[in-house]
Amino acid sequence: MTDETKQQQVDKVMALLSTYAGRSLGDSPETRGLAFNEIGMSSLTMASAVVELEERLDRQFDFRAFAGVKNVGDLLRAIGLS
Amino acid sequence: MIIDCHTHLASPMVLPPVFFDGWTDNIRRLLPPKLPRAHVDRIAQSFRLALEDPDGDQLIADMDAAGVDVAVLHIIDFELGFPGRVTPLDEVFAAHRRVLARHPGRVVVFAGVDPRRGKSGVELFERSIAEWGFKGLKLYPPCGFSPSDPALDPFYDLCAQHRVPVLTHTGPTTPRLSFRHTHPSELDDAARRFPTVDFVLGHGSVVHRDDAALLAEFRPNIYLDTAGFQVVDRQGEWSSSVAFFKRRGLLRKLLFGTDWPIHSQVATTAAARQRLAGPDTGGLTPMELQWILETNAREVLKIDAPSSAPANTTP
Repeated sequence: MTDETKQQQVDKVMALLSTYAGRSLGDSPETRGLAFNEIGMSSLTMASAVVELEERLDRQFDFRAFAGVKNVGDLLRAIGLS
Repeated sequence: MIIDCHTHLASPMVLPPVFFDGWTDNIRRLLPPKLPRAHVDRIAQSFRLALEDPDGDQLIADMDAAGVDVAVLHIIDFELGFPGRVTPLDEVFAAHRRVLARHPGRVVVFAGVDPRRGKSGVELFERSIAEWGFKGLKLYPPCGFSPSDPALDPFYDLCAQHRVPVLTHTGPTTPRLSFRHTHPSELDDAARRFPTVDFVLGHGSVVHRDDAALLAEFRPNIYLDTAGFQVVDRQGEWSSSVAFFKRRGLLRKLLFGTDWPIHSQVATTAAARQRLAGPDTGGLTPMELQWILETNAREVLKIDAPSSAPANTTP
């Protein structure tokens, strides 16, 4: 995976999360520190976002990898993009 | 010593598929309209039991990673709630006896018996305590009975005689069962009539929180556990809950519990314990943290304090 591809994938994650947040989320330290409850995401919408990420990134995740994920940075780490 | 007072064996024998069917029914109704069917199915799948651990080995591994010394395994008697759809109770008991023998000193088992089994249920419970070393009674009122039902009196008499506690589920559960008897107040009559028996409101610090807290504050033999707090924490509301219990002077009534494996996809046991012990969790002192992680459960379960080495409460 090149750095450019990785950043493109991060941008896809941010674009998806923006749809849940109802506002544009750029990739920044502030955004990565945002907790999911701060952008209005429940456990269910979180699961929905993960499934949508599987489609957008053409990957399949083990949901157990998301245990303890609380903010955007955690999510990026869980899917190997940080 | 750290005690997780609320866990289950990760096995379809214990947590049957029909239990999760109800959750996924509900999830489908909560999702936005017009999502592709495959997408909905994949989300629903993520809420099913992902782990099979009938011997308890993974439970012990997760406990070790979290620094948890003892876990209380709860048997739920689903047979009358889901007739013909679950493993017979005697097989479930046998599976727990095997786990108890496989992991000595690491697990404690609470016998789940539906009081509508009558005399045979009382005998099974007594045998589980007297012969097999089980240490408490687990009640699951969503199967269709109140924890204050007089049919439970012989069970509570045995609890008093053997000095073992009761943990009863509170709050909503799978929509395939009834929520009718799951309010904390359903327990009050029994707790008043059996003052020498300790009762724990399972999930009491998470669901119907204010009503559960009121009972724990004024009824000496009622306690609350934290099972399911991982979800509240992800919602950003756990710190304020801990502060609430501290202000109410209820930290001696709170027992650490994870409900493993139910919420292990929200937070591992290690993450849950870390979160409970974290610096921003309502300002707990090391002593208060030790109450929640160890002392309170030890007193309720009648487990002696370790004779050597100070309790492990380091975050």
